[in-house]
Amino acid sequence: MERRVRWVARAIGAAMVLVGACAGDAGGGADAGGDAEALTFSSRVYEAPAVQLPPFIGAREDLVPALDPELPGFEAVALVFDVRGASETTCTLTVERDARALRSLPGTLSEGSCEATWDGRDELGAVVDPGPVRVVGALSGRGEPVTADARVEIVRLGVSAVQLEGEGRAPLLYRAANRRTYGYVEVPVTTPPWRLGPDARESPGATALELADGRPRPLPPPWDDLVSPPLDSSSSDGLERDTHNLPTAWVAGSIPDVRVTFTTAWIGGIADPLEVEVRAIPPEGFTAEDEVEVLEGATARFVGSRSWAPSVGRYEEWLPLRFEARRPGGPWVTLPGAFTTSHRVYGLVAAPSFDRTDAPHRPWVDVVDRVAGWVDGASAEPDQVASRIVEGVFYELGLRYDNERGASFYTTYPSFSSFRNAVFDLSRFQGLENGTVINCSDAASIVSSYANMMGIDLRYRILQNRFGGGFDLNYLYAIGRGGFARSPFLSGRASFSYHAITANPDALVFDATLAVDGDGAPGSPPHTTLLVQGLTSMDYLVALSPEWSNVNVGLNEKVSLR
Amino acid sequence: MRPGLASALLVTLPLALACVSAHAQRAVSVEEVTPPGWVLIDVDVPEHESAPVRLRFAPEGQARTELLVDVLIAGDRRGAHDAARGLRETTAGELGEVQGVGDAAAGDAGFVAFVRGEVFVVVRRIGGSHDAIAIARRIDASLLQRREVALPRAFVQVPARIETVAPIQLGPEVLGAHVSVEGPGLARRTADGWLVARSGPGPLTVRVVAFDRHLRRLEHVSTAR
Repeated sequence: MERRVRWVARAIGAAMVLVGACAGDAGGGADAGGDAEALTFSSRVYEAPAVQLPPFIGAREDLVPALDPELPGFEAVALVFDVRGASETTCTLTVERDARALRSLPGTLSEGSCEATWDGRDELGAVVDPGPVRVVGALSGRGEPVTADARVEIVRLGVSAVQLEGEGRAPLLYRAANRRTYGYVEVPVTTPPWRLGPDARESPGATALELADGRPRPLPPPWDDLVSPPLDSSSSDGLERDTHNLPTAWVAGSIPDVRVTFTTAWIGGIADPLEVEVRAIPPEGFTAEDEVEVLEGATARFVGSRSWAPSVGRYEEWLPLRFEARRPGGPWVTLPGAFTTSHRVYGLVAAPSFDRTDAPHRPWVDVVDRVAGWVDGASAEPDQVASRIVEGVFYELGLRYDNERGASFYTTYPSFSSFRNAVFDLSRFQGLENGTVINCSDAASIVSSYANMMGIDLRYRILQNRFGGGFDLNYLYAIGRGGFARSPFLSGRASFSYHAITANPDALVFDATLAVDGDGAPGSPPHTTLLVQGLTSMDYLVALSPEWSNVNVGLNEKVSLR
Repeated sequence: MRPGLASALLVTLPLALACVSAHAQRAVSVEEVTPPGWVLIDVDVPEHESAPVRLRFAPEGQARTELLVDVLIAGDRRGAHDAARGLRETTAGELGEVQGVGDAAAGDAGFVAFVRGEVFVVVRRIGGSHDAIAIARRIDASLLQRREVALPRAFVQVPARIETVAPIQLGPEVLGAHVSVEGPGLARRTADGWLVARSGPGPLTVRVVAFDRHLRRLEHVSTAR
């Protein structure tokens, strides 16, 4: 029995030594073949030997599906492949088309990935033409190279027209195309203010996005000329229709929606995406009305949530349009870059308030710009804006009252012995082509026309002595004449045969011909300058004339414009 | 006419030719009215039938208007005097009497209004230091020479159909014109004359008011499809 136990112990010991030898350092203890009593056990845990996995590379599911190297703001995209077992290897990403290598990019290996940035150009630095390319990732250096590939599409994305829509939009009118008086050009609300397109004179191959030589077409900045729209001698009407960026006018607080027309045309043809879907991401503050795939000529409408003209003023808005793409069934990936259009908008008080509906009875660009500059976002309230118009006309246009005779230079009354149907030559006035001397008829025409264009309902009123023969005057400060005087005329005559003013529907008076004495004693010095900015008819008449009770406020019309 | 405009035309016959009765009227040419040393720069044509034409003059060698001369050939002397009275009543101050000009004149060295027979004239100085009274006397002298001149027979061609853009052809007798449109379109003055641009479908009523070189008013209205 004892000999059997010794044999079993010896066998166990040998087996343990053998196991210990397989594990490496078996630690101290029994040697092979030694007595069982000499065995000792190591306290170390058994560790399996390291296994070297074969290299693996594969395209990521969210690998960028597309890129537009010409999209403004694009610099490069990251091409990322998953890798495993990449120790002692190098990674290369190669862009190919039709089995021809366009660009070889050394990849950067990091934990689980091989990445390279690609600027969309080939080895010669030229932008790769639109269409699918094959990106081949390769690990090499340990055994046979392993590769994987993925499809990426080069696209050309842009916008050929931006239309601004909404009930608050008003038409605008340029008064002198090519600096020709009465050269009216209207920009109706149906006209997209922003367009991008080749000119008829350009060489064949030019597209909305590209010049004939393939360079990106510059995006048009807001058109600065206030008098004439852009011109094009090769168009049927002499006006630029292909590429322009015109201002728009909006009732303050109204919200524009944006409708864009996409273009994918490049010098080589139409580059509608072939293997991927592309859609536009609604700009901040907008929601997409529908999901629209970006294809040549497709339009998408984005519903706005914020006014671009919160008050009466001149505003500049930027509309960055970004895109995202996906492979069929894959995730949407935002493409680097954005197509950004800029827009100039004017805020009006309300829709234009003319009595006539024919041109040129529209808001004129140079008038709206002037008033918008005066108000500068301070208000959209009718009387406040009208007050600012009075102030601007009185102080800022260099006008002077005709102190020789009080005759009009810009306003005519075609009906003899009547002030009806007054015609105001606003075209000549805006250029001061009849000089800077005006009378009350002209001032009332200016104030009412400016106001009506801004949507303020001011009407033309005539003051006359109900008994005839004119009416006497208090001390007045005639426009451009430096201060108060007993008479607005060099002759010393202190009376008007008539006087023209403007008033709102509440009969508040707005008059830029003169300032009255606001100290309560208009018949004598000293004087306090009080511009006529919404005075009640009674307050105004009392300040204007000592025989105010004889003065009748008649007529109630709006001038016709030339 | 520029090729671009020509290619945009779709003109079908018959054109609307504006013909005016060939009756004669006492008149004086714009050349005779032009004061020595002055050049006619532009003409402002009023739309209202009783409003005068405004001639814009600059001193020879200059481009900026410094003299406005309004001329109305009324139907008769009463018409001219009515126009003069209307001007007085729509002047806030006073117009003093001016001697030696016309049948009656009022104003000052910068502004003179006078009548001579059936003709009403206003001379306005808007620049420089020119004597409006002296200029008015020169104009008055030319009015004394007015004679019977037949009105033009045809002064304008308006297409019967306007697709997009159409020029308005004015005859050589026309000194100046103003075109207006009712309907989906807009009239625009260009360096080559007037054109009408359509903005939508529908009939366009084109109204042309012109003054001939003898300062007589001409008018034409037609509808283009």
